[in-house]
Amino acid sequence: MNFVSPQFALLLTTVLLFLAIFRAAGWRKFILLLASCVFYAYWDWRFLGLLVLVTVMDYYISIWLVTSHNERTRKAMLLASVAVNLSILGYFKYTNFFIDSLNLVLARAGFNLPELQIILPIGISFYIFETLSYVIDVYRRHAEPAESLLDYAVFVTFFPRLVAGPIMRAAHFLPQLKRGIQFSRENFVVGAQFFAQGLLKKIVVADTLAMLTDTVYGIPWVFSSLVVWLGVLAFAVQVYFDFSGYSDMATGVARLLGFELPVNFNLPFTSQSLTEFWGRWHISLSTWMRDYVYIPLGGNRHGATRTNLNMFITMLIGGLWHGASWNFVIWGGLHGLALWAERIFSRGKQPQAWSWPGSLLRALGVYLWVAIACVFFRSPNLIIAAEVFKKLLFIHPVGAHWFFAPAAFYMLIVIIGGFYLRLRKPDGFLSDYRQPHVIPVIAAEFLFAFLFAAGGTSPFIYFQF
Amino acid sequence: MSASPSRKSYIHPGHGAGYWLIFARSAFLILLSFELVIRLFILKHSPVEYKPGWGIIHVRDSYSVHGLEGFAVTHYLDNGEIVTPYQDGISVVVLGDSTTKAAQIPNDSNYVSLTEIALRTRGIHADLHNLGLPDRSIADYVALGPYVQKEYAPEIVVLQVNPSQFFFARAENRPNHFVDAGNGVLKLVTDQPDQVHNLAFTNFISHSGLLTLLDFRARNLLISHSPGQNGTDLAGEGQPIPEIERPSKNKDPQLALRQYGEEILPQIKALQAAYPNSKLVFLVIPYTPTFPSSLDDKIGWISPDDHLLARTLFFMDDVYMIYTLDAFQDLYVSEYNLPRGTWNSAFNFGHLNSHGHAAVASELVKMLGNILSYTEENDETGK
Repeated sequence: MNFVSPQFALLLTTVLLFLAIFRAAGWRKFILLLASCVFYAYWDWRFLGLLVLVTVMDYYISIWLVTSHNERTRKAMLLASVAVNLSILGYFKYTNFFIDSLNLVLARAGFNLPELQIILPIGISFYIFETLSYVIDVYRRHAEPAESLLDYAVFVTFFPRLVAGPIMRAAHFLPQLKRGIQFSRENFVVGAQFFAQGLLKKIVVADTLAMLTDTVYGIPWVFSSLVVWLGVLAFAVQVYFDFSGYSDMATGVARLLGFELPVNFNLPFTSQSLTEFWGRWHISLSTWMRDYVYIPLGGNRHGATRTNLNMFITMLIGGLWHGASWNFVIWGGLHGLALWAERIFSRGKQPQAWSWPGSLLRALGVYLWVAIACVFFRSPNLIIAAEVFKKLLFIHPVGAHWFFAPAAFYMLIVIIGGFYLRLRKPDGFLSDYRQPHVIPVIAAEFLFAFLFAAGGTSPFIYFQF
Repeated sequence: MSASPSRKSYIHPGHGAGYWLIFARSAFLILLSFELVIRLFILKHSPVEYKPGWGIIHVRDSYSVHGLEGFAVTHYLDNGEIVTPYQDGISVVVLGDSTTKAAQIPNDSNYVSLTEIALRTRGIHADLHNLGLPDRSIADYVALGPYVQKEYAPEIVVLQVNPSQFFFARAENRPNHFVDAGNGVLKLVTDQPDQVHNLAFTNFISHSGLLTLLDFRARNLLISHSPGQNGTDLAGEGQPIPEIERPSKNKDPQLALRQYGEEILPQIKALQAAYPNSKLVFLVIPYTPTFPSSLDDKIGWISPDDHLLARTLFFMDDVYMIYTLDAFQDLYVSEYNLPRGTWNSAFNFGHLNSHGHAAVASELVKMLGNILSYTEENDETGK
């Protein structure tokens, strides 16, 4: 179920209504769980079973991890949970990738394994990572287990962020659930503000840019090099507005229900380095990868080379998390190498102070690199990626002319607007929900989204992960 | 956001008059900003009126702003005619849909104006009347015949047509539609259009850009999946003619051609009867581009229904026909320009851009030049 659909509006209204009627905490949790199941089943009810399996298994393993005092048993249970979770993710997401890759090797010997007909359950990468972090945190005794299976099920399935994050930690969510659902005017206004902001980002900006990028990445050989450059630069902005738009909407819906979600984006295109960029982009995944991949690999505890290698491996895995194809492996690898290079060249240097035009040029450099690396992220296969790079390198520069003005406009917005928000830190306009202009401004955002929405609403990019 | 939450109040915190004064002022300023930006740069319709025979048309000397694709201000003359550079010479009427109206580009850049200018450079003084009237079927064109003859007495009538217009000429819910009168002859049935009752509302909202855009978006939302129905533009991807298998699915192309011809021939005859003193030039502008599926392919515009309509018209007697497929193809191959799409529309979709209008005009100039030169020669020799 898409946030931008009448079905979702109906579901949300119904949930709010029922939550207002049923005040008992148990009932409210049950309503949330039921709504989440409806939300998920609307896409494909058959995969609810998978959610139930993962939820029940990890809940009881976490109980076992707490009650057991035998370290070997605890470790075995942890490994069993990690193995089952990763096997589920591996089967649904990576089986065909494995078969395809094997076929590449076996092709010379004349073998060709058939692909399996596997449907990728929506949001699987997100909720598997959440259940994994829960079990690991309980094992490490960094988090208390959920008080009941119902609590844990509400955490795993919480519908505002079920299919595309932000990736939540149980330690962040469960205390809020224990506190209880709180309706308030503040939550209502702030939630509506987040939702309107996300709606604008998605249906006005991201979907408009999709008109350009879908075409350029579909038939790059048709266009001139300048058009392809515009498309490539626009995609980085599109994916930012698409995903941060979803995160804002998820945050808004959660806030309406009285919950706070973690911040997922923080003006990434104002970053002065790639290291800073990854601290501001998809923050919930970056921190997950740091805590459960990078640090267990050794983090920065074993010298510079090992640190860089750990970072590179983490980025490779991060790339593979996004999608089961060599494109994503290369995308992750490129970022890993770039981070490695950045650390070598900036060793010992302090982050530079803000300056004009140095800061802007550094931010543009980061943006340019992110956009170019995104060629692998967006291209459906390596053949298309190669065609895009031919155009970017002006190897065959001629082709159809098409200046899609909104792309240039929104690129300027993301850079200039980002710097304005970061440097000026405007904190008076919408920061106090009680101000009389806040509700008219939120209403204007909804009106703007309705009036200037792109022709068609495309699915959120991160739904596929 | 700070401050402690109030559990009781959802709508307003119960401040006094000062709160509501600032609330109202904020709302007013926001609406005013929307209105100004929209009416100046995005959308502002001119008022319309119902004129017997002509249907619903824009009132004389009114202007509309269109900035959703490209940007232009359209100036209307009598009968919803769009202004062209010259108002004297041999009368040529161009009947068409929103492609002919071309609200997305300046009035002097659409193919009607370009043709008029180009003919003058060839020494042919023709006065082209741009009757780009969206939402008209072939039955509407037939119903217009006597009025056009009386008002403009055209030497030539150019009819920009697409397959949808033949399809909707049979639709019984439209004010003008055909019914079979037997022996392959069609009878025109004319009813009072329902939309006339809504003119007051339409003209009321036309005073505000914001209301016009709201209405436009709401209609699009409601009827986006039924193109050509009730008040929408018939320009667009061709609708298949009823009871005929889509050409792309018909295993026998000759059969498809014959069936298509049998369906549209009576409608063409009805048009010829409606404009007895004029030469008819049919202009088919292919709509749907075909995108290349491999690295060796090029962009094309061969959509089966447009193509079949053009082929059918080509084989008919006593009509002139222009099909701009080759002109579009040349535009792309020689200059890498595309006929459709502006700076704010999807690639090669939407209405014709200035390149597309120039390509259509070049074809129309050739055709009208030939016809009018021939006519002038005949006049000079007294034939």
